[in-house]
Amino acid sequence: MKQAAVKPQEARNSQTDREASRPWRLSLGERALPLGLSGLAVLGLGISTYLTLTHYARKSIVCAGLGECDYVNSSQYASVAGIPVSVLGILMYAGLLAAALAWAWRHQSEALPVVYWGMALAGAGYAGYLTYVELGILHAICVWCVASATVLAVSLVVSTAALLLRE
Amino acid sequence: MAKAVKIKSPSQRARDDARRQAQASRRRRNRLMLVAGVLAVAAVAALIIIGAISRDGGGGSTATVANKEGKTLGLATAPVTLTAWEDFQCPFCKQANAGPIQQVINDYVNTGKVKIEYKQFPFLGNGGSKDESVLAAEASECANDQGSFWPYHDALFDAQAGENRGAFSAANLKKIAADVGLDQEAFASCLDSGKYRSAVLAEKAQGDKLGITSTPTFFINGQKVVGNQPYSVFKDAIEKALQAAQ
Repeated sequence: MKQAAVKPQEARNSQTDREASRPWRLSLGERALPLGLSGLAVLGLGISTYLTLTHYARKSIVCAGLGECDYVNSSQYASVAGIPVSVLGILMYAGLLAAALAWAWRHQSEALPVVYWGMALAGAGYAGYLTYVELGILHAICVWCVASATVLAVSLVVSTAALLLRE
Repeated sequence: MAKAVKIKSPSQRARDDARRQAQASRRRRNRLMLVAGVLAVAAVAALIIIGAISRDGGGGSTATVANKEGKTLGLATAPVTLTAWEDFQCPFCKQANAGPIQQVINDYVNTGKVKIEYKQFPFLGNGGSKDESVLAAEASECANDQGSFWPYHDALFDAQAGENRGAFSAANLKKIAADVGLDQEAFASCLDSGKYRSAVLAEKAQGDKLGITSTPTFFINGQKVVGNQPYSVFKDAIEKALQAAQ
């Protein structure tokens, strides 16, 4: 009688295990978080691409009346060893996008969320430094840079919460 | 009395196993996060250090020039004319003047092949009577009244400090004029009267008609070059214009 009560539970567990080995058969709920983070990475990729284009065009553009994009984008802090910071941004967001999509694909992987989190930490850390440069050294704000820093901060906070709350 | 041995039910054992697995998984995740965190911090530190080492101290000085006549640099007989449409608040204009345009001056203006004409395109200001781009343009015209357009032009680019933050307020423009050695009274009277405002705005409107939407924009005997392009771009356009002029 008792054994009969356990068997359906075990049956359910083994069914869950089988489904777990076929990630794309699972409900969207399992992949919603990494897919949402992929969306954020696409947004960041768009911002970095725009900033890269304006950097290489090397011309002054009106920044929609919001801050001083060209002043920040042409400053000596806008490049690292000759590489525009916006290009580093493209690489970072491409990496985040790849990690988030891989996480959605293999949602039970332990390593992939941590890889994403590590990249988001590096990105948000460097974006924090650049925001300090804007406010503390250049005394100018580039709205596109602030938008990118916000995307990275949200990516970091969400992925940190996801890792800490994960069972 | 012998202690009773507690026998766990299969479901209890399963729960214990699951708990142990979860703890082991959490420990593995924490180790991974530690490694990823250290790598992330190292990457950020490396970027900041490399950035600091590679920084070379900024935009450099603006153009040193010869053969100045009004707002034109170079001989009137030069076969090629390079028209420079600029805004004194534009950092790329400053960089272009310190970089490729200085090389053009060395290689082509000083050898009598090219003359440079400055054109006002003040579009980065906030508008109104205190528009810093327009005020700086007017001030440069006032300096031109005293035959000092180019020294004042260079001093304005040297004085750049962000856009619309007071670097080119009327008071600062007068200070810059004093530093350049202009007659301060005549300069102040010219600037305060606004005598060049309509001329500056008319020149800007002329630029609008030419389809200019950003600065710096150059025309080399009609060939358009937009932005602070590498010297090779200017050189190629000038050589083409020189060949066509022969």
